[in-house]
Amino acid sequence: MPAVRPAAVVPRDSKAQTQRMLWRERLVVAGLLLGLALGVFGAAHLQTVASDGYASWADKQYRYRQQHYQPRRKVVDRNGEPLAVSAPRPTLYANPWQLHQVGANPAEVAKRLGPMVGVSEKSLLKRLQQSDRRFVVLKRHLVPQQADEIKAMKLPGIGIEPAWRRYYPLGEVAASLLGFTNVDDKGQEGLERSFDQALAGSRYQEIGKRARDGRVLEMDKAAWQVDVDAPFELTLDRRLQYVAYRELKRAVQEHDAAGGHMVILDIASSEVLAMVSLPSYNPHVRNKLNWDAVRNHVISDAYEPGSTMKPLVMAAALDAGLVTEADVIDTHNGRWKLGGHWVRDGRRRGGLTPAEIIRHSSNVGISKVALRFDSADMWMALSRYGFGAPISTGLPNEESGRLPHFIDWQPIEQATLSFGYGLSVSTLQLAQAYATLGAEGVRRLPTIVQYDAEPLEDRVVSANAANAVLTMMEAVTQAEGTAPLAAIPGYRVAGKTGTARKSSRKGGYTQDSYRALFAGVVPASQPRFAAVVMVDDPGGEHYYGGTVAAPVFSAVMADALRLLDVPADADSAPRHLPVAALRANGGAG
Amino acid sequence: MDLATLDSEQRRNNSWISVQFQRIHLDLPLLAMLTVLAAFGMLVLYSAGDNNADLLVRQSIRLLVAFGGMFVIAQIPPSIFRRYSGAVWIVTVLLLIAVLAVGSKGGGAQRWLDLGVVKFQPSELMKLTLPLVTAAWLASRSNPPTSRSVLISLALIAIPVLLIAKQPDLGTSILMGASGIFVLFLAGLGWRWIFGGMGLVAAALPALWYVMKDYQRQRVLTLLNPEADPFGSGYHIIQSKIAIGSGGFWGKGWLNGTQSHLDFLPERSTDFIFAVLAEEHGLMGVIPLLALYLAIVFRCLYIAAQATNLFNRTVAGSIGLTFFVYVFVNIGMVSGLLPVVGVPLPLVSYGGTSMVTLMAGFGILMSIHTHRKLIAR
Repeated sequence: MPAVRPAAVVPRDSKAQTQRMLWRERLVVAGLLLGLALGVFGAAHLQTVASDGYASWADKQYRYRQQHYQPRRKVVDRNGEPLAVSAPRPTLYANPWQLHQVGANPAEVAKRLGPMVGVSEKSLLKRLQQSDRRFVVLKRHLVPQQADEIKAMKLPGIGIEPAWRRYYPLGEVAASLLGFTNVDDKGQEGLERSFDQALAGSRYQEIGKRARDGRVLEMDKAAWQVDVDAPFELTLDRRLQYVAYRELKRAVQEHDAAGGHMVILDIASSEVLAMVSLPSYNPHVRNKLNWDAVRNHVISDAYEPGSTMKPLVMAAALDAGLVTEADVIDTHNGRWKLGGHWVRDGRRRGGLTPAEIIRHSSNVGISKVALRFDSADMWMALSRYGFGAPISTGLPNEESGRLPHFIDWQPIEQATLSFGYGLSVSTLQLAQAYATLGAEGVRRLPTIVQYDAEPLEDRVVSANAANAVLTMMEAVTQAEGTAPLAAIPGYRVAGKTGTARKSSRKGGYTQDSYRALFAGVVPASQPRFAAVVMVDDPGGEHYYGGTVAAPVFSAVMADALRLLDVPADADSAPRHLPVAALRANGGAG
Repeated sequence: MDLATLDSEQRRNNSWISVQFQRIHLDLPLLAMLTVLAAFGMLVLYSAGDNNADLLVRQSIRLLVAFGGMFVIAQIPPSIFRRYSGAVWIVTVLLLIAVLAVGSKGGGAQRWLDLGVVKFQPSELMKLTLPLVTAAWLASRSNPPTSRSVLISLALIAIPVLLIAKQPDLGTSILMGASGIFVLFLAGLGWRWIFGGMGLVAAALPALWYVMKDYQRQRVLTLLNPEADPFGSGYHIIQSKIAIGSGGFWGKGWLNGTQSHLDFLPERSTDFIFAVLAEEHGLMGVIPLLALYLAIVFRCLYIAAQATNLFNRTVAGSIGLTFFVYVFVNIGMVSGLLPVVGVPLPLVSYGGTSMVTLMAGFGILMSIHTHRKLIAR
């Protein structure tokens, strides 16, 4: 044990000793500075040059990333019934680069996968050998079970990506309206195209932080996206759509027609309940598409509507006070010369009341009524029905038709407009106009997508004028009218036929090519539906609206009235006094 | 007021303040730097302890105790330390033996002596006793030291070092040995001894390998290649390197460290707290901290240079250098340059005993500095 004698003899520091100690201290200081330089250099190296590597290492440890896939939205009808749905059909893909990196044998992978997914080994191998690529699709639209089996195999560089395939439960019944999507789930045609943004599925990453024990701590708020699970609701009723399709197709086949349109509007809201365009196509089979069938002709075609214009002109004339229901208009035995042109009726008649003009569809009669208009006023009246203006349903390729400006009108043009020549309308525009008559003269823009907003409203004619014309149109579907075939037992039907010559490509009109139309409103006492049927170019012996289109209207609307429990009104009193009664009362109006 | 008068005014003011502090035996620069360091440490600790206020309160209490201890020790004249260091050395060695015999175990090592009321770690006491006794011994001999006094000094150093190494606490024993060697070095140890010793250590290293415990060997191996076992023995080093490296130049911001707050970084409020600092404050936090540590060491060396006798000078120098070695070893360990030895980062790491010892050391330094000047007057 060393004996320490504390502070016994303290030698005084000699000068040499102090000098030596100073040197030692300098040495120590030098050593410290060297150590510090080393430390700073080490830290600086870690935190500058090597920092990125460590930062990405840290990122790998704590970053939480979760891929979320949101399938394309479901489209449903007004009752929530599916019209377009996305079924999970995952995609099988390969990362050939990774496959190459881990030294796996592509031939063996191809051999195992080939029989499972029904792709030839050779074709798979070719794709797996593209070792510079990191994403190659091997097979699309796997059945989920298949995908699970492949996942369980845990093959290197082989992955399953969630994907969906679009299915249309109604098939060709609503094909031209709904359209379809491409292989990347992007809308290509129809509603799928024009509402692609609203319908599109999404794929997003959730980014957060994860602790060492796996707890997910924070989510970056920005990474959250609004989930759009809510189905996309249409105003369509798929039952009516189906009935309309079935009956229209039957008529098109029966009359050997080129195609046909039908649209049904709910009068109170102007919502589209059915919209059929024929010919149609199977939206699930795309390899030999008939592009004409893909178009939704109900909105994309405008044509001359023929006699279906007459009630609209008559209502406007009544509203303007240019004619009263008691007036008698001379039809000159069905032939009337106007500015070098002849206006003809099908049958020779003498003086006709407005109701009779409608019932018998007199061209001369309606022309004489139309010519009572100042041309500007008539143009305004027709414009108010919405002719010549877009409806903006949001569907693609909407046609707004053509209503020539009154400045160009000669009397003969003003006359022919009144029986539906010289202007063009789409089937939907015509239905809109008839719905206006059914809604006591108030026009509402038709809609096909459910909105919360109230429909745009615009008064076109007075309620009295609209109701008077409805009553006149009821006679059309009665025994002496032009379309008794449009009648529906138990219900009062107000409608009007149209048989319009198609214009020829060479100019002028064809001799044997027609459009058969029927436009109407049911039940006439309390209008619920407005519908337009158009059969394009019937090739058989019948081509009149009353024989070709009217039966379709009757059959479809009969089903619609039953399906929606609309009470029968055949026995109810007419809402407007018939002409006979007016005459008996001495014509006072 | 021109610059010259301002300058002299300031000098007069400074000297007035210095005099007041001298009167209560405190060294103003040292005290200021230690306070800044402690405050900075609290800031880092708050983040490292997951914003736990409790931790902060307990650490504050320890800091108060430690600063109080420093103040008390600074009042004691250095001659007292010199006089009683031998006796204290003997008692402490006996305590160390007692620890080995009956001490309580913690973490596979016997370091604590349970005195009923408090647990006491005799090795902490030895940390200060060792340089004191070595300095006292050398100061009582002729200078430069003869071979005999060097050998006796080495024995004074080796006995406690071996006892502590046996606990086993390799880190503390090596650092403690170093503090004794610093005294020898500063006292004018001959170059023959220095180079001879270095040669001996180099030769002894392979032998040391066989003496080391398995876990100690593992630590050395891990240092050489931490990636060999990233989730096992390499985990600490890899995680702290990731934390430091990912902090980059500007850091991720206070309380925003990912590696520390998401539990990836182990021991983050104690031994690895430097990694928390480096992650959150980046290189722009690391450099000021190192500068502050260096400034403290330089102040210690300045005090040593100003000391009036060999004992004071060697003790002050040794304490300053040992402080530096602590900092260096901790940061080196956390940055993956040195093996993992349980050394806290002075005044920043959470923990009590070592902080009290540390501040007591600074108390001795202040005593040396302030008593000298009063005597000089």
